[in-house]
Amino acid sequence: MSREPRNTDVYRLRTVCAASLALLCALLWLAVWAGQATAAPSVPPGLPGPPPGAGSGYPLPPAPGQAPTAGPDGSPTTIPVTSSGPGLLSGTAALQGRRLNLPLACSASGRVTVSVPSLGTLAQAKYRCTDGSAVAHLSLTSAMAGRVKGMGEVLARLAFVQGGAKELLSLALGSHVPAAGTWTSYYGLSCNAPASGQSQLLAPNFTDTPATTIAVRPWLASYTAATGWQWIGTAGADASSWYSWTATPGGVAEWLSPTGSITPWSWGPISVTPGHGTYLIAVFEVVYWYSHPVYVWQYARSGAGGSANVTYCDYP
Amino acid sequence: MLLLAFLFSLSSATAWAAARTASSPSALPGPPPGAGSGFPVAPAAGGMPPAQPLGPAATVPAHVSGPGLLSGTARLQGRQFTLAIACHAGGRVSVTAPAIAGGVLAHASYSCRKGAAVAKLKLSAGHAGRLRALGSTLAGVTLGSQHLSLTLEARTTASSYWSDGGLECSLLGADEPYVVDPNFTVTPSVTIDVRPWLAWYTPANGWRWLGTAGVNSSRWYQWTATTTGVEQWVTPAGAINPWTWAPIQVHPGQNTSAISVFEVVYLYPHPRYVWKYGPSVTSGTTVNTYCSYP
Repeated sequence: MSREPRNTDVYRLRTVCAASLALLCALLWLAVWAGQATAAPSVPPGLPGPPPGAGSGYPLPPAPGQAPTAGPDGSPTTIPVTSSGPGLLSGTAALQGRRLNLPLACSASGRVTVSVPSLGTLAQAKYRCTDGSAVAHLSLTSAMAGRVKGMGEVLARLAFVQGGAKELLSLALGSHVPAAGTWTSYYGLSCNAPASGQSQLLAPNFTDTPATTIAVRPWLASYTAATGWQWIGTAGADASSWYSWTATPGGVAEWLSPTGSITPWSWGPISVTPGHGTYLIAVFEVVYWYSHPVYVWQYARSGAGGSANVTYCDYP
Repeated sequence: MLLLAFLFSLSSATAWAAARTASSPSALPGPPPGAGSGFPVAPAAGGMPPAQPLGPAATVPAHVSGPGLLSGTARLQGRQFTLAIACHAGGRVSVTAPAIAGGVLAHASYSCRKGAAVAKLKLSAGHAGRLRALGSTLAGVTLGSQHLSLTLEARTTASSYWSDGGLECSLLGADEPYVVDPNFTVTPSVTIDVRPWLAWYTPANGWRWLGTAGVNSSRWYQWTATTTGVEQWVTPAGAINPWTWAPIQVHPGQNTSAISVFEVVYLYPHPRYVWKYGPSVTSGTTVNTYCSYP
């Protein structure tokens, strides 16, 4: 359950800067940043945030004393190149006073309602889609904004109605942009594996002390400049299944063979159609079935090969 | 004296009527119906408890009939005690307490005003003395057609809670609590019988009881409590999956409060009976007295 910062090239460079010539490095860092911004204008402005229905739709608690039933691996999947509904450009947001601005990728104008289960509806607004993008400007009441800020961070539900179609998304909302957590396990999303233009997802090797039954829901979030962040689960677009395992201090008990080798749950190959400037990242939701269950969602590591870790896999 | 008693009764009823308008309960539900009775037969010598079923899917009834208690505890003052009642009409109430004496110890009529009533009951001098010697005892209450339970006490005692398990208020849904058995520990290991309950409160109906066999009825579940917890709940990989009762649906919009209660019989050579409230967990590790469903 522990978290660590994502190990990007920029992160490494910033670490080196702290220990050497600060001014020179700052100039170098700015140059690198500017170079990245110029060379890759379609890089996602933010990470996808929590998956659709995050923090809800849990399975029933496990039966007393029963071992989890192993679920099937994820089927071969192709990331869609189009979307039927709007996509967020970032799945995390901070309140600006009482205001909340949500940049979107869209194909038509529409309406969005923001709610939090424990608070009810926070705000709703129409948005106007121009050249494939829009910004939904929402305004909360002072009382509701205060309650959100008081809670620090909430999982908000976004209900979109766009061109007759409905879509439900999630948003991590807070007084500051909520920090993203990453599962620390070595396993995660392997970019360009097993072949170029594909990915292979291995579930993190969840650990816990004492051993606990866990329910896990895997997701893939894909981004293009035209669609924003879109979600695909093992049950299709915006839908994924729960899998049940036992997290022990040494990892998932059901993935350990008698010889000590680990075979984690896998999903792949995940095929990406080239030419769309697609970015891909995986998210896992986990319910730890303690006496008082705990829910966590975090990004999986993405690896471009060897031990390298990147924020997401990218497919030009 | 009669006038004073009438005024006291009227002011008490008015106070309870005011409390009734509040959405949260002013007192805990006390022991469940039939508390301390109806035990199952002892297990066969050397036998292991058989596999137990899960708690069935259930719904807290939206409508109930008859009167209900507003508090599951009554304290003796002199030889008298009062019962606060949520009601739709006047009626009669009688109280028994086997630990004090057999048969009905006290009975009274009550008048219902604005949905609330206070029944004033009086013990004999001998029975009151016996209660003072006990400190507190389980009492049976016949209220309308319902047979409920009550803690009758001579002095205020703190409510007892199991340290884990209890009621998960909204993990499965905003109006969908579920019950988790506490992981009972005991040294040395013994067979235990556990009877789970959900008590729910609405301002109009007072406290009501839902068991795994329906309203005012629950069944016993048999386990082996060890020094580290319930033996049957440990999975082959070493995780602990306790008994649960899920899902339970609550009708929204009725200002419902809910709390879990577990009765346990430790089957020592001389069995010991205990009932306690379960903690109510609102989110993560935040524990409240009740779960609330506005």
